[in-house]
Amino acid sequence: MSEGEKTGIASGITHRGRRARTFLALLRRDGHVARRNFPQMLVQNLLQPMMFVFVFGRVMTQSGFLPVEYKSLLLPGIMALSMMISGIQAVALTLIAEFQFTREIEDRLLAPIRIEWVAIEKVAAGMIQALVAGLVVIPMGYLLMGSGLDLSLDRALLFGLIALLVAGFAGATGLTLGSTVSQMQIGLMFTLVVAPLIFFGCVYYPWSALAEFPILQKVVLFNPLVYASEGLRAVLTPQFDHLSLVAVIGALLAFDVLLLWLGLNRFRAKAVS
Amino acid sequence: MWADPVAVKRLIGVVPQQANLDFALTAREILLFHGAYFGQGASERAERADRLLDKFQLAGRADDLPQGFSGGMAQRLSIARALMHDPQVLFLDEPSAGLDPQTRLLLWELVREYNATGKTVLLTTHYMEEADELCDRIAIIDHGRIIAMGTPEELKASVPGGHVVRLRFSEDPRELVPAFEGLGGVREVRVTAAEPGPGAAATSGANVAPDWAIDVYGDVGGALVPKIAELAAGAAAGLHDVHLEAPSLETLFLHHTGRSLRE
Repeated sequence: MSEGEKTGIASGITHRGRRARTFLALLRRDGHVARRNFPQMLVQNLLQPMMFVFVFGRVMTQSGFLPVEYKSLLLPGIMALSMMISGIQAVALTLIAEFQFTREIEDRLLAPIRIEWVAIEKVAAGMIQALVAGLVVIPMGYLLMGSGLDLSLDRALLFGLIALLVAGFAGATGLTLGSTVSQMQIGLMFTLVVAPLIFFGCVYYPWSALAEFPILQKVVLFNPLVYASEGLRAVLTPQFDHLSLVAVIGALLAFDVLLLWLGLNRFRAKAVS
Repeated sequence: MWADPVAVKRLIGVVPQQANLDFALTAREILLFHGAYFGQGASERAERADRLLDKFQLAGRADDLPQGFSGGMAQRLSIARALMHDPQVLFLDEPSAGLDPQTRLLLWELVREYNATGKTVLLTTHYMEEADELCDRIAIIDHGRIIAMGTPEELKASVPGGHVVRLRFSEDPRELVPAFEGLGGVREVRVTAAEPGPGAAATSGANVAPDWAIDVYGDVGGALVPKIAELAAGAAAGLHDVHLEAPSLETLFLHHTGRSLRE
């Protein structure tokens, strides 16, 4: 091995080490800010799923309007929804604020790391938030829904994989929206993009329930939330009909890659202007 | 530079015209995290941050969010942030725009101090006295092109004569130009503008007589005035304003760029 190759390899290692340090410092910064806004974040992320879990999982079932099985059917959907919303919000809302006229994002862009990594760090921070927001739904269900909740928690590895893919999708979508939408359009974004995704995302019903609406059943296959809900349903509540895991993982992977690619492009375009 | 932007980011410190601080963090945290981005260890960055907060007189507000900071404080904090990683080249984009005189003086002191440690400072400014005061080399840029470059002394010497006598007339004074040029000590005479003067614009719009302006560049300033006044009185061009300017970068700038407004 020549001297040049040696130094080349050594500098490659230190280069990667430095990048990792910068990346982790950026992540720590987001964690620090998130901890400071913890109560606010908790309310923002958990209040809605909590009310949903309670009203539909407890009130409606205990009063007999919905069968007890609905508890188990609903929970994976709520989990997918909770992950999606908090992941998207965590990335998109902060990015929109940081891209505003204060150009706060430049504080981060000065860090000695390629700007793509600044974007990926945002996605990673969103993923962590999404995973937390998703995982707390499980104890929330046991606490608020009362007896009758039937989850199988034994497929941990598969569950972890799907949860990661869903979190990745939420973070990447947040990156795309946050680098595209301006402050003025946030409200519109939620009504126009997020609300239809939720209602046609198989959150409150399984995909198989759409058999009565064949066209709608095909159309919703373009909705990534469908795969998130159905995927979590497949691992947590396999007793119900669900989309095949292969289709779910394939689709989630494709959406992750697409949204990340789109988001990185949008971020780069907006950061360098 | 484009080949390795990360290496460049390590070498430079950037202070933008508008402070782009991290508004979610306190002043001290801004510095600490900036140090962390650059791979500094916990004790190193804490020590550097405290030193910079002291130096920039921000220690009292170190644990406040920068939202409530005045323009000067935000500016100081963003310079402190740029210095956290000890860059080789510091870019300051109009650092003293909108600052109070005390802050400006503090800023100048810090820039000199930093420069004295052998580091390069690249500063853009609209204030000629700031450039004169701080810079070893000055480039005058107009419409994106460098139109003059050199040490402050070289640049000042490049203005013919150095002194300027600026004259305003209410009538066309161009017939006077040859006479002015013939005066002892005069280097150059320029008819610079024929636009309504402030006096004309303030009165009724009907009889707006354009004001004429002539700049006389010479080796002397005040000594020219009696002769100029004499010549002007003979020509009845309506000389109504005489303004003397000593050699400065201001006259230099105007000499090189002309007097029309810049964006």
